Formats: sequence, structure tokens, C-alpha cells
Amino acid sequence: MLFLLNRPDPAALSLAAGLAGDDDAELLLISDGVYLARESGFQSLSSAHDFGEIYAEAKAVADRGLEPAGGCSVVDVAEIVDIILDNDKVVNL
Amino acid sequence: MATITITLLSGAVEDENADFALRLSQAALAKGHKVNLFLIGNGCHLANQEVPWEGERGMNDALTAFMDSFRLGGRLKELVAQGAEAATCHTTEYARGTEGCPYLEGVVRGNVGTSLTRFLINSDVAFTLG
Amino acid sequence: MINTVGIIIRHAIGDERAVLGIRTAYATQAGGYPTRLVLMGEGVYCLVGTLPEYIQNMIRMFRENEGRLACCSESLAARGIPPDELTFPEVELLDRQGLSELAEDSDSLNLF
Repeated sequence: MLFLLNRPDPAALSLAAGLAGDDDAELLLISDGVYLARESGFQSLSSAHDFGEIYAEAKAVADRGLEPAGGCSVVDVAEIVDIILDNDKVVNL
Repeated sequence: MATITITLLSGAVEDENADFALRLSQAALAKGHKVNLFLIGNGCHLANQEVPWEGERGMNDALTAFMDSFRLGGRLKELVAQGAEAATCHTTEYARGTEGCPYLEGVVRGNVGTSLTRFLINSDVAFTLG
Repeated sequence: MINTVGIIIRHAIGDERAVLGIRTAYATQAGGYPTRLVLMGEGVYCLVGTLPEYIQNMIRMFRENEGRLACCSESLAARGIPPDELTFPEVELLDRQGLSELAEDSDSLNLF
């Protein structure tokens, strides 16, 4: 299951934790959500839920001049297409 | 080849969801996948042809260039020309008084009962954005 | 392939997205996709007081067409809404386990 988050709101991730349950889940940060990819915000992501992977959309990161934390993979839309199709469902938080 | 359906609730400018949806759709088409876009709520505005202002705009070049980054109309038209399907929820257009406004070429007047359910039939992934 | 649909509404009726979610749930259920409509967060306020008649009827018809109406029990509790005061009878109450089952059971999960 792939969760999309478009705003820097860690509280939204509690819904992800509830929906994912024990199933595998990945998180894709888009738009303002990429602010959580910064080192200072990244901790809140991994503590909210045990995401298999955390991604940040490349254009959103570049537009904001951010340096994502080491554990966050920066991906472009072409890669995101594959990520979406690899997950059985996509949920926009 | 897979089919992705995106139900888009956001309009062009209010946030970046529409821009992301169109870029994602472009990437999916480039990979040989199929894309359906269902435009509902403020998303229905993406369907409309632009109505240019003919007079003095009163915007300097820098402001114009900045605001140009929000304009999406041409990109949806290109997606449809490349094989994406785009349909509106005409009910939300009616509520906005835009039901009779001309559509970008290839965008279809639709509704949630037939257009979206038709999109879902062959979709591998379907999600809402906005 | 998509055979089942989950619709989660997180907004009260003053936000268009609540109406869009309800209309979409009705449409997918009527279109042959077993659909669960879940109110959570501020969305649980859709189950309190009254709704516009058209929306009230749409939810009623959704249920008559075997659509499943549910809400998040945590969201009710956080807002001091007793389950026995909900506008619609026999609304399913979902706890965390129920939410994850909803996600598991829905081929497409859509948040409004």
C-alpha cells in the first residue's frame, strides 16, 4: 500500500498506520509533504509507522531547495509510476 | 500495460495536486500505460478552454511568468491527444456555473455514475487526489 | 482489477468533499462495486444532526442498495459523540482493526 502525503502534517500519518495495519506500506511525499523529508522532520515519519520505503518527489524537493534525510529516496514521476504500480493500492492522506 | 485512474478534486492553482496528477499521467503514458482522469469538484475547471483577456492585463513580466507556472490547460489537452481519457463530473460544473463552457479538445462531459465507474472497470490502480 | 471500493470522508458537510465522497460512494455501489463509506475525523459530523435532504436520501439509498455505512469509533469519541446519537441507525463502528480490514478489503481506497 502506497500512501501519498502532500502537506507537512505528521498527524496525518496516524491514518496511514491505522489503514496499513500489519501490511507493507510505503510513503510518498509530494508537494509540501516533502518538508517532512528534511532531517528534522524525518524522525516523525519513521516513528509514525514502519514504512518499508519513504520517497520524496524530486520536483517538489528541487522547487523548495531541500536536502532530504539520508533515509529518504528522491524519485521522479517516471519512478513514481513504477512505485504506484508495484503497490496494490494508493491512498492519498 | 496497466491502467491508472485518478479522481482529481483539486483545481489548477489551489494546490499542486493537479500539476502532480498531470505530470504523473504524462510519465505513465510515456511508459505505455493507460490513464483516466476524472475531474470532479474544483478539478472540473481543468476541462475548460481558456478565455483570454484582450485588454491591458496590468501584470508585469515577472508576475506573469510566475502565474504562468500555474496554468495547466495545454497540458491536459496534450495528455488526451496522447491517449489519456479525461471526463468531468458535470454536476460539479453545474454548481460552478461552467457546465456550458467549452472543453479542451478531447475532454468529455461526464458524471460520477457512468464515467467514473467505467474508468474503474479496467483500472489496475485508482485513487483520489485533492 | 478493481472490484471493491472504500470511500473515507474526513470533512463535515460544509466542505464540498463530503458531498463528493457521498455521491461517489452511491455511484460506485450502484455501479456494481461493493462499497464501504466511512466517516472519520470531522467527517463523523455528517452523522450528527441533519443533512440536506438530497444527501440524506442519497445515503439512505446507498444503504438500501447494500452499501455499508461506517464510522471511526475513535473519531466519535474524540468529539464526544455517543454512538447511539447518530442520525442513521446501525452505523458500523470501526476501530483500528476495522480500519485496516477496510483497507485490506478495498481494491481502491479513496479519501475525500
